[in-house]
Amino acid sequence: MSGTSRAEAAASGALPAFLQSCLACATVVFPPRLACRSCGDDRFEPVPAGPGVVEQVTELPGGLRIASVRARGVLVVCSSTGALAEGDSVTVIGSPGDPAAVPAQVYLPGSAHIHNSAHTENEGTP
Amino acid sequence: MSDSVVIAGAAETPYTRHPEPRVTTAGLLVRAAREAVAAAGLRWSDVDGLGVSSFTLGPDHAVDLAWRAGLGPLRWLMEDTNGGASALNMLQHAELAIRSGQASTIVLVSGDRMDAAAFRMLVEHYNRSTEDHLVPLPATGPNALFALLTQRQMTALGLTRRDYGRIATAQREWAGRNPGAVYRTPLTLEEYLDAPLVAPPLGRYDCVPPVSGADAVVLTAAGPPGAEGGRAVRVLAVETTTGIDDQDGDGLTTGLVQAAPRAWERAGLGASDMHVFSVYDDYPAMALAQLIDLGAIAAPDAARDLAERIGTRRLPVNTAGGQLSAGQAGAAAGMHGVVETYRQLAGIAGERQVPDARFGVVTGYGMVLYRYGSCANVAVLEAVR
Ligand SMILES: [Zn+2]
Repeated sequence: MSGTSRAEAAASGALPAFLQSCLACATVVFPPRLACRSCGDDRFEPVPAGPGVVEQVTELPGGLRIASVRARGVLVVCSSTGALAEGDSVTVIGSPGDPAAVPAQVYLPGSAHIHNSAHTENEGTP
Repeated sequence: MSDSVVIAGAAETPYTRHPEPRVTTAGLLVRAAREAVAAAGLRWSDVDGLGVSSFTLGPDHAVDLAWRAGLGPLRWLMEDTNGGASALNMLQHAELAIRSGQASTIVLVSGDRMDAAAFRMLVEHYNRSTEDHLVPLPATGPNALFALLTQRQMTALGLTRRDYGRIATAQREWAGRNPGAVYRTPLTLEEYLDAPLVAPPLGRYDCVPPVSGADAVVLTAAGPPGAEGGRAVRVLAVETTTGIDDQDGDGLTTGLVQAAPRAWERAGLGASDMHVFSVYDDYPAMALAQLIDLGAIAAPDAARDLAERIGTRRLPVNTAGGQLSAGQAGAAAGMHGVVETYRQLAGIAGERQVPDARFGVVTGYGMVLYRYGSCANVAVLEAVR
């Protein structure tokens, strides 16, 4: 996330969004994994999702928009209660966003609490 | 040891949109299995192998089902959890088990009592990534994901909603000739286009109706020539590929792009040799993607072929109506195509029989990890004359 969009997210009370980056080879993925497909390492760190670009968008009955958003090269599935269009620049955040925000905020669930996983989920015996 | 393995019988219970309270998943599975064994001219006591796939059999598993159904002792037992790919996954293992002599008569059965509550439970708890990253959007079920995928395919292949309507309307025509399909009334292209949008560009007729039901096949070693009386179908090849990418592609290429060439090589055949196609049609876009990956349709010709080959039913695809019109009976969705291809090749497909059908191909697809399905498999079958 750029400094500006991070500040915007914070100002709106939104949680920042994170993707998962491999400590060994810096491959970025989402959803978070237990081991890196590129190099096999199992140590990760969170990286801010940063700004994104909408690639496709659909609308569910009731009006919620669901979009494919490319952020840091990764395609993630986000939602927004505001209007979105293909090609829109958006801020990817980790909690439901403000539909009036500019640039539009899109919600990436499960992205606010990605943490350093080197010693958590896949922790072995001492 | 056996050189060749055949499907000796198959059965599908009636599919129903709203199951009666007394209908259970185990009951549906056993009914389909028993009917398949009877159709094969075999006895229940001949069965020495069982493979099961179901989303709703819990808390029971395959061995519980075998016991409650009075089967045993069994020499071969498996349970497959891979949804739309489960039927061919089981077929891949079962064929080898019979070929190697580990079992002689294997029943593979898939099905679910899929009422509204069971469907909701399934889609809300499909896997970890669904629970953590999709349900909270909030989006429940795969419609939104496949709407995004269909948009990508429309852009890539220059297709419109009308083009996808060719698949839905043709399958409805086929369903009209299948007494077991839940939707049999003809569907016009205009009705397809005018239907309410579920998630643009997907409309109502792009989405499968969940139904309750079960499908089963019985596998044995091939008998001496003529022994099966024309009702046996040989398994020529079964191939599976899972995880061809990292869920970071466009989802328009399935694992068939790797599995199909292996299957064609093993069978010594190609897509142009096939007389019937059963492709996993959870959405029209996926049916098209699989036909392309099989080599039955060339991507640049997609719009033309949808109109001139699929829409006209000159290319017999999903001849029982597919999931779109016959219904998606949970885990039976993958077995539905195996049963239908068996029926076509055995010459017992009734009003929808494809004349002189000798070779058929079935695909399985499924298990959305995050953005699209991760599993794909293919079986090539041949009528034993
Ligand atoms: Zn790595």
